[in-house]
Amino acid sequence: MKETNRTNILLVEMLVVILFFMLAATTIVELYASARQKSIHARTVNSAMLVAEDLTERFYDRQDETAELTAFGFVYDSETGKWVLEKEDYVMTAQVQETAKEAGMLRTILLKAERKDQVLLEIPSSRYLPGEVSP
Amino acid sequence: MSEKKGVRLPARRIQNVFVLLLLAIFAGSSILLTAMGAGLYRDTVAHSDRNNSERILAAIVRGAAHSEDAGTAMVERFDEFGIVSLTFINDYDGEIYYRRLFCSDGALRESYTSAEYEFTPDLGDILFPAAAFEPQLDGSLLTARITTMEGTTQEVSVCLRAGGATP
Repeated sequence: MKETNRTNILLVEMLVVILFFMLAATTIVELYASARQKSIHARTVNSAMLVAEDLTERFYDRQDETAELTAFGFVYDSETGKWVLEKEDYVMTAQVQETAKEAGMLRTILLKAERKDQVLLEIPSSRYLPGEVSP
Repeated sequence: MSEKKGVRLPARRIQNVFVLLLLAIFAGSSILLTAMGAGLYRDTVAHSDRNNSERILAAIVRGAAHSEDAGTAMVERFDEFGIVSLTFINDYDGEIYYRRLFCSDGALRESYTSAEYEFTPDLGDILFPAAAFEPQLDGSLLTARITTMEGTTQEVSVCLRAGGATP
């Protein structure tokens, strides 16, 4: 009888411990998932940022942004009027806007990286292209 | 009495086995959780290291190019050492100085010497661990392929705004 009681007490103890363990495990797994998501997010932002920085430098150097975008693997989407680059972790779009100024053209290329409807970064790259000025 | 014992014995055994089973589940789950945590920590640190290496190496090249591009930039090849160097030439009061960025012995190095001295890779200061560094110049566009110690290769483009480049 004593032995049975002891076993029952041990059983209850074990069940209580496992219950607490499950609660702790749920919290820890949630934290793991959150840490993993943050790690993936950081990696994606880093990757997108490196591509965007490269592109802005190239836009600054070269006149023909279309050739640069094509060389990077961007594809023109005629429906949205944007250039789209689909990467494994994110999608980068480039939108070219030209604004006529008094003595030239202000060309702005807006680079935007998105991942699952979440905007990772937005980098505008502007360049003033002087036009011909009548004397 | 003996019949009672005969009935109770298997029930107690089952209870004991059940307790042991619970203990085994507890131990197994603890190990699984610890292993998951360790794996995740390792992955996170590895990704963080890789991101840091990529960003630091890109920042070093961009910083060097932007701070020195008032001078002349050129790509030098030292076949005797198997080194390709990104070199910025500056003239200070008539004396020519070479600032070289190159990869040697598992590190991106920098040397800053007067033109009077010959290039010696060992004298270069270590900036950051890197496996390879291959600069290229196309007009005023500098493109450097950098391989980190983690094995990832990235391309860094820098427009030399202030000065010019010697192909």
